Amino acid sequence: MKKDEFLAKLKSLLMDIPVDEREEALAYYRSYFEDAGEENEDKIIMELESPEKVASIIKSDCVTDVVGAEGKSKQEHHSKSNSGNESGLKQARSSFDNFYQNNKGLTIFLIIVAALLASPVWLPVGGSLFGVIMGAAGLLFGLIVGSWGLAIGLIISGLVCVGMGIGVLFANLPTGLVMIGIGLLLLVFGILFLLVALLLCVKLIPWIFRSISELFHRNSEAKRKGARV
Amino acid sequence: MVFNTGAALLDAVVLAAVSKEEDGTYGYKITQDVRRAIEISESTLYPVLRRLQKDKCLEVYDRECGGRNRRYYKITENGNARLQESRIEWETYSANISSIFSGEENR
Repeated sequence: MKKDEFLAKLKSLLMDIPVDEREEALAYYRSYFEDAGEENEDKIIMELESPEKVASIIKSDCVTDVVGAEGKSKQEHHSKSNSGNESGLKQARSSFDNFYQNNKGLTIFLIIVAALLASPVWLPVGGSLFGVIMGAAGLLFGLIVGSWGLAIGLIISGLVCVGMGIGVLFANLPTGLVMIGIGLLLLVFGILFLLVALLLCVKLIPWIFRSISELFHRNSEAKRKGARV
Repeated sequence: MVFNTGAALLDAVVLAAVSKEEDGTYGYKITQDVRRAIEISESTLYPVLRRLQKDKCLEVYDRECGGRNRRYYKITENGNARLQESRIEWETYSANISSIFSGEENR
């Protein structure tokens, strides 16, 4: 690479800074080459490494960066193409960031499209998961309703049996006593199931809700920890 | 060189190099002078000169030389004041470092 080539490349790389800044920098480097003399041209181009590096130093307002990079540039001296690659990578990265910043709407749209395309995968999986959850909820609901029904039915029939037994008692003592006994037995079972139903409502439902919320809480905590690591 | 040169010290060194020439000096020569004191790559100096110019520590003028314009840098009042501050700061700083290196204590 020759001096004019170097300066032309540098100019094209500085197109995104104000005109006077660009002219100033180009004038400096042009006269730098001239003052150094033709015999030093190659040496200077080698030391400057690449127009890309010079341009990035001109653009970086943060001078501590420049000074910090000093030591590194000496080490990287042998692999000149390295810094070129690096700056290329940086440029690609920043342009991607820009793209993301400018196209948030597009990004969301792309995510939706990806979700739709993946639906053959997550639709059956999600569907069966939903089914299992709904089944469990149905089982619970049935259990509660069933136990209430059983309890109420047993108590009513027990009461009816006892009433009938008392009615029959004076006409037929043994039959009346048997009926009262059966009625009381039914009442006992009815009360037992009533207790079970009450227990289900008072203990089991809050326990389920608590364990579900705990599950979510633990999940989100694990995620937060994962994010920190 | 194992020690990093911070921005403030680099500014001071450049100001000192420019202040040596009454009539001002130019980029290539400043680079050569600064390089006698510290290791610095050729591309580092331009942003420093530009910053010092914006801080009004240096002034710039063009002078014809051999059929072309050469850009000269000259130290200003402001720049001289800053250089003087840096000299005093450096005295203290370097004396402290030297004393701790030599193992003697300043009492």
